[in-house]
Amino acid sequence: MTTALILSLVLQSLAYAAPVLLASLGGLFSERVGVVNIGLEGLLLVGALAAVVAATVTGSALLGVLIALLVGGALAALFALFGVVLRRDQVIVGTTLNFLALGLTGMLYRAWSASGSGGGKPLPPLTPIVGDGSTSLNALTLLALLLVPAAHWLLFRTRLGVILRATGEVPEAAAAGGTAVSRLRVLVCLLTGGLCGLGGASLSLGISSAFTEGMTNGRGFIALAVVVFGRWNPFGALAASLLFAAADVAQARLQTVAGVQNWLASLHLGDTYPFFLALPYVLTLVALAIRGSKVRPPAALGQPFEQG
Amino acid sequence: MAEQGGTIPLIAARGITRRFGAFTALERVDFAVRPGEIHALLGENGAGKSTLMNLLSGLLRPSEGEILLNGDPVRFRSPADAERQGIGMVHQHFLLVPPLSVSENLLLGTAPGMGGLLSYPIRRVLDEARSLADRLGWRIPWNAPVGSLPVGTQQRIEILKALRGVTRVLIFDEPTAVLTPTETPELFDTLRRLAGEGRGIVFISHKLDEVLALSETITVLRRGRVVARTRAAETDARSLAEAMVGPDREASSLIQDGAVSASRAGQATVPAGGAALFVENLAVAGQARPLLNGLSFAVSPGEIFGIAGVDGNGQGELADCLAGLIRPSSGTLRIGNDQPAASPGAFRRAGVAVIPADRQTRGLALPLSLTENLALGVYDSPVYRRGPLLLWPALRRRTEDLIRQYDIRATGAGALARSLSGGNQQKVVIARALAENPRVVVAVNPTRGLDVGAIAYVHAALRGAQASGAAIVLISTELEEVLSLATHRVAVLYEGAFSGIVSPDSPRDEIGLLMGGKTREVPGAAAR
Ligand SMILES: Nc1ncnc2c1ncn2[C@@H]1O[C@H](COP(=O)(O)OP(=O)(O)OP(=O)(O)O)[C@@H](O)[C@H]1O
Ligand SMILES: [Mg+2]
Repeated sequence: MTTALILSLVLQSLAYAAPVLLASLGGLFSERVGVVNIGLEGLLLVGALAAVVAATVTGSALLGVLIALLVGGALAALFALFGVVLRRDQVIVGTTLNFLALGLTGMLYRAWSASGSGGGKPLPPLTPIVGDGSTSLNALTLLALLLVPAAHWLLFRTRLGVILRATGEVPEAAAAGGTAVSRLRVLVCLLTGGLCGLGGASLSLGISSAFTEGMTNGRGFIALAVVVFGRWNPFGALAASLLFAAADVAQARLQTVAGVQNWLASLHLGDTYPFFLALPYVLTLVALAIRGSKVRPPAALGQPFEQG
Repeated sequence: MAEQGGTIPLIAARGITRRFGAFTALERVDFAVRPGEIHALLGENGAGKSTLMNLLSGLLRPSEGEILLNGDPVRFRSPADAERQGIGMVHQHFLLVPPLSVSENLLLGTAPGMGGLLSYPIRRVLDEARSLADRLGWRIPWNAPVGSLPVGTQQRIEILKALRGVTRVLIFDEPTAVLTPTETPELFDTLRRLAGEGRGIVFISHKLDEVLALSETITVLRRGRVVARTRAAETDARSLAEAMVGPDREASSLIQDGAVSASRAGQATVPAGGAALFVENLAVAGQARPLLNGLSFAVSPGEIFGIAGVDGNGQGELADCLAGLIRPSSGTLRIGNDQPAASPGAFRRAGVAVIPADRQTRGLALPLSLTENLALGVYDSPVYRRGPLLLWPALRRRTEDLIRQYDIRATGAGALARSLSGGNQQKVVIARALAENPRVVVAVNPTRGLDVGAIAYVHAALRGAQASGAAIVLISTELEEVLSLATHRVAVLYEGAFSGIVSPDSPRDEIGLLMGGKTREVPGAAAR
């Protein structure tokens, strides 16, 4: 009984970690090459909607995931155009992207539901790879977990990784070694968009089995914090994502425990629902603060680069 | 297309002009390097030497004129492109990535043929670099982050990077500026050997005797034009200096620091009066061994206290302690009677001005203008501030004064620090340090990369500050500089401790022994 409970908690935490983890891996690669992308939140949201619509229309969860990947990449291309090619302030471009995504997904989703294009077709679920029901692991979660060692290998055990890291620190040195800095940064932006698209799909298809407006709830921003907390290291990002997800799962379960409900009610705090919702975010912030940061970000973060 | 000299040049510039906006940095310059030749390029700070070499090595493209590779016109798309075609360059300002290890930095510069992007040929790259380093007698910590290494070692890494592959032409932009007296001849041996193997070498230096000793051909640039080209055997230091500065300025005073020894109060005693800077038992812990170990000294107003030693023996840590950048593990640091907290601001308010060793990372904010750079350090003074607002016109006027006073060659107060030549960047750093009559000056290699005229100027500026009562700590790996400027005492730093404190008139070989770590106490000259 308890082992089953623990197992289900762990698997659920892993599933909840996937969206944040995928987005943070995207953010991590961006920052490693010197691009600061505040737009992770918007990219996640767009991925979430694209996955639901595409999966419903095609009747295939796999196609939904693939299209989310492409749509995320496409939106990120917009970011790359302004933030890298045209060298506009990346924080402003990213912020704009978030608002754009929020408005656009809301509008499109309402239009789509109203037109009945879903046609009452059911949303195909992501088939579990392991287990079933609430104790299962879907393919996207597994992929997210496998991407962690892969990203680590890429960054620290390949020539490309050396080039990526150098580009974020001293782009002039990378350029002198033959790297087309701007092109590399654009490519990494697209990768970030794709990863966020997958993250969005893992949220809407994997966890909620539906799309709702603004359903990312700041997970893209948490992913930014996770990059810092994880010290720009994939395994660090994994640990931080798991921490957030575990808190998220815990709050969801705690809400339903009668003892906790009664205790909170006895404190006369009024509506206690927001406390639960805030828990994982507060925890992430506290962890970030306690952890401090001796490790500094890449030196050329957010700085435009002009070939001589 | 054979030219005079018989052989076809490995690389040549023909009628090259390069403009930066409205400013013409090079005008119709011809330049050629032949196989086996060591060709020196001379010129004042800002003459255009680095610009010319950046054109030949693919970092910049000419506005007019062409570059010939083995006699054929060529356009390099990038430094990597030039490198593939056999042109390597060791830059004046290194192109290294500080947080990456030495071996990773070597991997970054890897030419194609070293494997795909997903390979990690670090073994192969390291083996190659190691055998090269062994041949040159260098010991390099391959796994340390480059940023943690002394500049001298960083330069060796740059040289190793440039030497790999099928390099036909090697360009060295002021390679000796950071080397110690013992390292320089070793580098020269290396350069001669490389030239002997048929490569063409371009060598930029401000040290005329080095140029005369090493090179075969000498080209002199003045304000972007070639003003002299001669064989080293047919010229001397005086005519070179004259060619560099031009007919309208007095060159002879620049060649040697004749006035130095005469003006120096050559006694080994400490001037009377309280110390302006007082250091006792200063220590900084390191990972394997202490980086600084029980340093004690006091410097009086009006004294230049020289600290000599081979680079990497604790100079950086000592300078950082004296600047308030790091907190010593133990020991006392007093400025007059103050004991400032370990922060650069507190030290500055106590009257300490610093001329840091690395002008690009510590000395200047490269993307900012000269006015902004020179405002650092005075922006909180009531003269330049009203409430929270800076008085820009006053700051700009001050910048213009300093530009004149320190002979900084720039397009104006609004010029970006990045656009200045190396030597002129250093003048900005020095102007900022000395402008506000500091009580204590900490100068680290203050004339690194400066031309003869500018060196004379900096030395005069430091002596001026000393004469007006500043206590000056001069940390330099240039032994001649320390000996000529130090007023009373020269300390020799070896492995984080003083191996001796001697009078600047002591015999050179004795000081050489101290630099090698042979401790010796000179009666009456010690600081304790
Ligand atoms: N990117 C740039 N933008 C504007 N001006 C520049 C730029 N690069 C160089 N200059 C100007 O061109 C001139 C030549 O600079 P260069 O760096 O070639 O001098 P240098 O001879 O190498 O001097 P030093 O001995 O001080 O290194 C200088 O006046 C410099 O200010
Ligand atoms: Mg130069």
